[in-house]
Amino acid sequence: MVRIKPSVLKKACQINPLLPLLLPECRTIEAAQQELRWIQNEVSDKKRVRQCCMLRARHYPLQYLLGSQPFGPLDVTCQPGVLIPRWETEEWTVSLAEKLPRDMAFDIMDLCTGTGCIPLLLKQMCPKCSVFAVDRSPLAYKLATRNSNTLQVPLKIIKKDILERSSEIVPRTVDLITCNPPYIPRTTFARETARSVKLFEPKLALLGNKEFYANLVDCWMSRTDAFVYEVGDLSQCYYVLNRVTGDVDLSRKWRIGFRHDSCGRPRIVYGFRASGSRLNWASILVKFGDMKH
Amino acid sequence: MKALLRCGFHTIAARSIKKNKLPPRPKLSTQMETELEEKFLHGGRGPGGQKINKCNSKVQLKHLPSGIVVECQETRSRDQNRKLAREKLALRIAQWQGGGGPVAREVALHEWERQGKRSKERKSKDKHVKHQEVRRSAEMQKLQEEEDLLRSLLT
Repeated sequence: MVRIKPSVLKKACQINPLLPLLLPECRTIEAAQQELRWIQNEVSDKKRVRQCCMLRARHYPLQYLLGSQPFGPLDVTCQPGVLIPRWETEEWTVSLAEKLPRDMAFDIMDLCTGTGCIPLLLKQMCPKCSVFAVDRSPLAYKLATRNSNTLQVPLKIIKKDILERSSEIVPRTVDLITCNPPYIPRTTFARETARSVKLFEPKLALLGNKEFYANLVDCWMSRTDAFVYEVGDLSQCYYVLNRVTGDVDLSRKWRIGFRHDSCGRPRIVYGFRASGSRLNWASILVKFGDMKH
Repeated sequence: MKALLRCGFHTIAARSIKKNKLPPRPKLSTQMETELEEKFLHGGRGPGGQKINKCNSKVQLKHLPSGIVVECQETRSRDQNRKLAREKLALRIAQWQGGGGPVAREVALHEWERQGKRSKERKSKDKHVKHQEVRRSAEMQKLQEEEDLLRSLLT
């Protein structure tokens, strides 16, 4: 990472002595000023503001300090040990929630739910649905429960490992599965991951590669009519696509598409049954991304 | 008489603009909403998703017919930023439609501020006048007392 010039540090110090502490994460004076304003708005005690800035200098995530992250119209509580919701996830969840039918009751299951941000937003926007959330981490389970209670969005939260014990999870079948699985491969983790993420966010929610997508094809596709999975790179998208096109039965029944985020990076692999489902997913998910199969 | 006149003027001025009765903020009509180009800027290339934890979300709005561009990254929430950006843009569009001049709300707000300043000045001036009067009367009283004392001594 490019070092911060001493001249910039000096200039920042002249504006506010706390700013140089924020520069390692924010990189520019404007961004640091913005962040300091946010901290000062949410933390009233001056001593605590200083403490927060000191922690920020050591790359501690801002969301853990302030205790929340906005996610669509919701303000989701964040705690150390549980992955902070990303803007990319917010973006596709909002876009998906806008496409889902409001007047129908159907079942949604979110796997690897973490804070519960995805199911909370979906339930908030489609109150008639029953929404299930699954996570194996006890911290995530607790936090998702807390979020569900404080935001008054009822969820059914299940503490189970989806790789090991997917067969024990009820309900057996749902209409839609969403998931933001850990998708950073071990090989790129050290090189490409930001320091604040590497040091302070749970590896359990970050490290993974194809296993969750294999698990999707093996265990979950038979139990759902549609799925939306977040991905880290194109190879994960193609893994799902190739598994589906490589299987005669799946290839006939399923349609697969990819979606990019607003930075142009591949972010979603999604799929739905071409026919025989309760909802018409082909029309619901039209223009959600680009169809590949 | 002078005081009465001044007072009269001020009550007229004070009545002219009230903070809760300003002309409304310009709003984006649904038709304008279709002429927008919305972009979310998160600082360019490099890895994304779980690999990075960005706190800011910048919203950029472009009004295609006029080419006006506004940006907003005031809050941490993209939702809020989108709303604020729309407010900003609506104001800019209203200014553009009005030929570049300030819109009614701005004029009123400006006038309201001036009003506030004037009333402040008036109050401080009144205070001065009052104090002066008090002081003068106190002096007069003192003089009177001294005179009385002198007279009593002389007689």
